[in-house]
Amino acid sequence: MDDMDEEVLQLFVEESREHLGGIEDDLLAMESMDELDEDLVNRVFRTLHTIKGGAGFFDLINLQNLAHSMENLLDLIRKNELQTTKFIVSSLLSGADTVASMVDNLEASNDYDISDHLAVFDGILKGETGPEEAAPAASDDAAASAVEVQEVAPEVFADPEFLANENSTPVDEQEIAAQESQAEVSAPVMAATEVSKSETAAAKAAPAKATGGSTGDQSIRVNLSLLDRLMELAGELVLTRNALIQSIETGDPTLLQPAAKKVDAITSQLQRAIMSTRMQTIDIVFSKFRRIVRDLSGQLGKQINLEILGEDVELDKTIIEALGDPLTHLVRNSIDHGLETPAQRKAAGKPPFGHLRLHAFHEAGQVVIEVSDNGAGIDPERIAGKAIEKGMVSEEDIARMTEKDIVRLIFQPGFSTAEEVTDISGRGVGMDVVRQNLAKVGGVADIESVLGSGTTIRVKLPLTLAIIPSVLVGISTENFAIPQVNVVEMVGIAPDEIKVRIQHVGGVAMLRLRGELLPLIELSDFFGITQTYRDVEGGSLSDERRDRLADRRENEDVDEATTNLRGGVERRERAESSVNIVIVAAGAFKYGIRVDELHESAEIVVKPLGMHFRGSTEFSGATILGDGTVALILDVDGVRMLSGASESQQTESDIRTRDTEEMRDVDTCSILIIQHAEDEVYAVPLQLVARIERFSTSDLQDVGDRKAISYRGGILPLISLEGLVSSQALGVSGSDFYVIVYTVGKEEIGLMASDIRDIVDYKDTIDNRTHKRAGIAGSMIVNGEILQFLDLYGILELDDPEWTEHLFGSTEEENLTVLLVEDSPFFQAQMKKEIEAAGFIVLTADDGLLGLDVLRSHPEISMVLTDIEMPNMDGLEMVRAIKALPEYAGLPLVAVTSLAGASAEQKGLDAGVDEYQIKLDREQLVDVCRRLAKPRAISA
Amino acid sequence: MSEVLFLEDTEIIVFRVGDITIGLPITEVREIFKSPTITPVHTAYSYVNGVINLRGSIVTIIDLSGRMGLPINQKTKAVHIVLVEFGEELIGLLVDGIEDSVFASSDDFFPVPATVNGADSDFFRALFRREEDLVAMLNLENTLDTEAA
Repeated sequence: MDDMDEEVLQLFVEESREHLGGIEDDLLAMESMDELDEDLVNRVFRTLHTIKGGAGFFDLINLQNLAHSMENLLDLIRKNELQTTKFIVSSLLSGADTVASMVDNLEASNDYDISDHLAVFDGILKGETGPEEAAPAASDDAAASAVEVQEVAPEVFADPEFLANENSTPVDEQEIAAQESQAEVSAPVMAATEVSKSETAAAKAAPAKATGGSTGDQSIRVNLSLLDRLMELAGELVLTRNALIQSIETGDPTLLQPAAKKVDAITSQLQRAIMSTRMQTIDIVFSKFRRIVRDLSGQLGKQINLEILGEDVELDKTIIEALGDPLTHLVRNSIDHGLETPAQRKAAGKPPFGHLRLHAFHEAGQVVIEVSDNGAGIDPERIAGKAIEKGMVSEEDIARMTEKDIVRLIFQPGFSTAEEVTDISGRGVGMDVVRQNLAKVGGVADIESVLGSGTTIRVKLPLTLAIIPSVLVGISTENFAIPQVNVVEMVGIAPDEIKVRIQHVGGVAMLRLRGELLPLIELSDFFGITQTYRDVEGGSLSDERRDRLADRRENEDVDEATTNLRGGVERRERAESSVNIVIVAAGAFKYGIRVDELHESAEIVVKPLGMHFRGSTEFSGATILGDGTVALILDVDGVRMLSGASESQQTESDIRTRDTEEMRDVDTCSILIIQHAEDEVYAVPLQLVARIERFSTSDLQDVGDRKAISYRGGILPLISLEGLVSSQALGVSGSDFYVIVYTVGKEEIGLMASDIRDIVDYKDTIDNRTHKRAGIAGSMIVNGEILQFLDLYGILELDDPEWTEHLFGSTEEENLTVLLVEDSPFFQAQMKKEIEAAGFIVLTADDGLLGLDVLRSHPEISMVLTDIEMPNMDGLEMVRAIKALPEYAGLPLVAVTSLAGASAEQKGLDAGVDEYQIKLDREQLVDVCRRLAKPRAISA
Repeated sequence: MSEVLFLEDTEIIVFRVGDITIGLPITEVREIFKSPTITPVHTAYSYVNGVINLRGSIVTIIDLSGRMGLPINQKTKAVHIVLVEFGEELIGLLVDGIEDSVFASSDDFFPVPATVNGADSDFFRALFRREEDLVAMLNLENTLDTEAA
């Protein structure tokens, strides 16, 4: 073929594609038309006629024949000599699909087997009718016939479906479908249904192809007025350039200023205009669903009304292309799992027609797409059960989650609730893939479901990808960009507020923000950013550093000054600076990212990252800053997952963290300093604190002879230190006071405090002699101030012994012997007391070597509790030594520590420890003793 | 190794990574330049040194000695970047120094032993005998493919 022909052929392909783009919608519209819409039918007729003509010109016999055959059919419809039926439209649709496929593969078009299509069309022309014609075309029957269809040829559809998933080309599917159908071509009806199934498969494969970027999709149609506007702007730019050059050549500075301003203005207008050329209406994606919904509902015997709203909403071409797959998945899910069959719907008292709605709209600078159905909804209990079964969450986690959060679990990797894999909604890959695919284009998905009445999935998307407004932040020496759409607010916390606003609850840093507690993420923990103070502090959080600094300066000033003068100075500066936090939202989940510096907000140009970043969900790209350096763009959803997963999936950088953590004395104990009255402060071990709450004194209630407060739908009993360990009344200034919530047995108790002073990591020994008395376990010095260390269970006992006994449960007189190995006299005494109180005999040893001695001389020992950090022989070493001796096989070994850390725990488990417990958590200690200690059969 | 010992007569860019002398056919090298400031990044691959801005594109920089698990040689300083095209992407290889460009005839290539100065043979396609020493021909596929890693 010479160049001339080649060019004409290309023109023919493009024109045909353009026409075929609309044919599907037109055919579907034909199906639902009440009376003949001549324009509509004419349009379809002309399309096929044009293609037929072109195909004839290029000697594409097959294409010509097929188009001709369809054209004949349409001619009859046009003349009102043939009534359109569902069957006819189905046949025409599958014919059109084949035509489109042939146009895309012109070279191979003569190899297509179109005999089935021709047979069906001939049949129709001869007056043969589809299955529906036998019965009146009532909607109920349509469903019935669809079920029939499924029964007829399930094994036939299975294959093309499978092939579609294996990314075979449409041609292959066609051929295979054609071969299959040849085998059973006896009844035209059957052949038609088969073909239509294979088309479904082709449709399924189509979006994937689109994102892969087929050559035909590389051009874009631009509105003429927009093009004019671009020309105009280009003209202006030229004029301004001339002005600029002139001002530079003449050296006239008065000309420079206005010219620069003009360049600025024109550039941003030009940018907007060029960006809008990339904008396409979402209809391109939505329109595909008419066909998909029609075909699938037929296949599954479901009746579904599809409502499409906001199809004129515009989005960047790249986003539109990336939307096809995830949206198809969502729609298929809705049809397959969400919407019920007419019978099920009737049973549930719903109208037989299910409603599926696709709605696109603008909201707060983003585009939102909702896929909602009024189907069966999602059962949170089933999700929870599945998640627990798969080990994704624990039952405790579930207990703490709201129903909404539980439903969101379906976005987690590896989650798929489909009882069995169906052809419709994939093979168990599920929603996490949807979430990931959306995340690639900056989209975030959220789900809302009401059991029995339906599910709504909301997808939020940026308008465009290429340029996004972002906030630039600095962490250590590195810069990151956070997309503005994810930024909720920026918070600066003054140095004197840090201790009140940032709290550590259960080992997680939390920011207190207008009554909300938000998790605080330290990026350097995950990104391996070298911090100037990392060597000393390890990978822990900044405020923790601060706190320890505060007491370091008191206690170790000399050391620091001599060993690390420079570091000391730097750290001191840090301790005085305020903390900047960017609050971001990933879907409905909000958290804070601590940053060192907040730079300007800027419109950044997104550059893609290479293949080595494919596994890194925390970055969505990179950008080049004004000075030419690179800043990575944070994907806030990815960062959230990274931080959530960091405990279980340790990477190389974590190992480094672990090493530094090791150097830190594990005997460090996080304590919460509370104020009871002026000049009267107490320390509470932070690990025992479930929550810290703030109430107004007007909320106080009297229940019996004790104070209580309504809290989380129940009553929280309160105790005050007044009369127990203090002679002073609670010194509340103003109307608010704090409540330290902790757990005893299965109940929660609140300890009243007038103020929260601080949270510190305390490393020194706790003096358990000077101040020890009932309710006070010992004392410590922090920042030159003497603190009394509260025994939270002791004060409860002082307050109401009977109640306490009730809470703890009766002590069982088992007289089992427990060996407690612990070097700190304070912790040793405290734990001994607690375990003894639960009815055990406790032997103690001060280090690992002594512990082994005691173990040898007391065969009656039924379990060992051991500290980790000890002189002479540490706990892990001792555990290994015990494990090595066969006579102690099965002896429960429990490590106790004052710091809960995943890495420390892992080390313990590696050494052979059965469990890990926190010192001073009486509940857990007693519980573990009761569970694990068993009388040992002493072998002779 | 069943792989055919390939390479036709070709010109080879020779550079150093740690104690290994490595070569790449000149047709596979897009550019060589002194390393600009590398922005460090966190990825699943410890040998990814960071990214740079190369005339407006973001290019991933691979630390070749890290990739091959070689000990870090304090004396040599990785200062040059050899830019290669891999798949549809440009990737920068951080190397210790650029040595030479030599012409190699297909007879000069022979198979790789199990290790090459401490690096696994998988990273190389062949050895090439330069006048007095050996040049290991880099296997870009195995070195850069993230699937294999």
